[in-house]
Amino acid sequence: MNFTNGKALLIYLGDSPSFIDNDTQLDAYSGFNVIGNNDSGRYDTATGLLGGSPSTTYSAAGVGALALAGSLTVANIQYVEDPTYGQHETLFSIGGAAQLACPEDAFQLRYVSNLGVGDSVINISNDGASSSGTTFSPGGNLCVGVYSFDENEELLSCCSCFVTPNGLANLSAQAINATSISGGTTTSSVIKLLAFQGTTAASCTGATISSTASPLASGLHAWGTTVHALPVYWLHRH
Amino acid sequence: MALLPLAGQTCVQTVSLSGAYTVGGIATQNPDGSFDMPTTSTGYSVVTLTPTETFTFSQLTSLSVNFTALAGGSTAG
Repeated sequence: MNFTNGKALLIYLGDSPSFIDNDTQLDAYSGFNVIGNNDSGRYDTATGLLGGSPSTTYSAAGVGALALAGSLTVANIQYVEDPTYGQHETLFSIGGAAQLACPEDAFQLRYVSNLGVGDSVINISNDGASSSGTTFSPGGNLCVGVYSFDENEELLSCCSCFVTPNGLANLSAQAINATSISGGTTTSSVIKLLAFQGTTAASCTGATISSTASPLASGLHAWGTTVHALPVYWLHRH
Repeated sequence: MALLPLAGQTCVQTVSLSGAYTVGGIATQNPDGSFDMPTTSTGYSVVTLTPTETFTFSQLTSLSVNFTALAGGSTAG
């Protein structure tokens, strides 16, 4: 694994600590998750100039992979076959997952009430924070998933809006809830908005959000109005 | 009235590793998209994945390689 600062972390597959296996033994490591693994010698934090040990583990204090490489940005991941032992393999994929921080504005919510008396409105805009270009069409389009939950905390309705930078979408809470998934109705609900990367209005759907094709994105602003009964004032005559 | 963002709360999203593959050494890509990785006494195979997403090593929650070893001698991972 190479990092953007030019340093590298070596990770060995196979049976610890020799990592010299026959085909059957090595095949057992196909799909093997090396993250968090503390087999002796699985990690080498010395050869790639991380300043550690040539035979260490993921979490070894001071010299382990997490201690010395945890804060480094990954540039690429290489799968290398050592010619020493006459290997021959078919590689299908390098897989894994990472947990990244979300944009704080990507998820917003509010309530709407008294829908039997009058409508509530949600207005959505996009400040363009996810734009990357400098032209009149710089990208940064958002797909905003809209999810309405009824008094029983169950999903009542799901839809989506495609909002381009500086765009404005207006949603009627009554209209949202009219497309009820369950067929039920409600006079108050909690509406959640989730903003993710959008490309076209046609491909914008709140039903399926892909972390790779449509990650959560920044730039969402939303406002809402709802109906409340006027407060009752008691007048006391003295 | 603005809607309430999740300011101050921890929000994480899990992203799958994906990106562009390149081959090096004597490795080649098969028609089905997999990679043939032979070695010789002087030649090695390498396949590189450059992820689309930017992340640090500590943000990785899993990392694995899907492969099958072909017959022929002992191997070292």
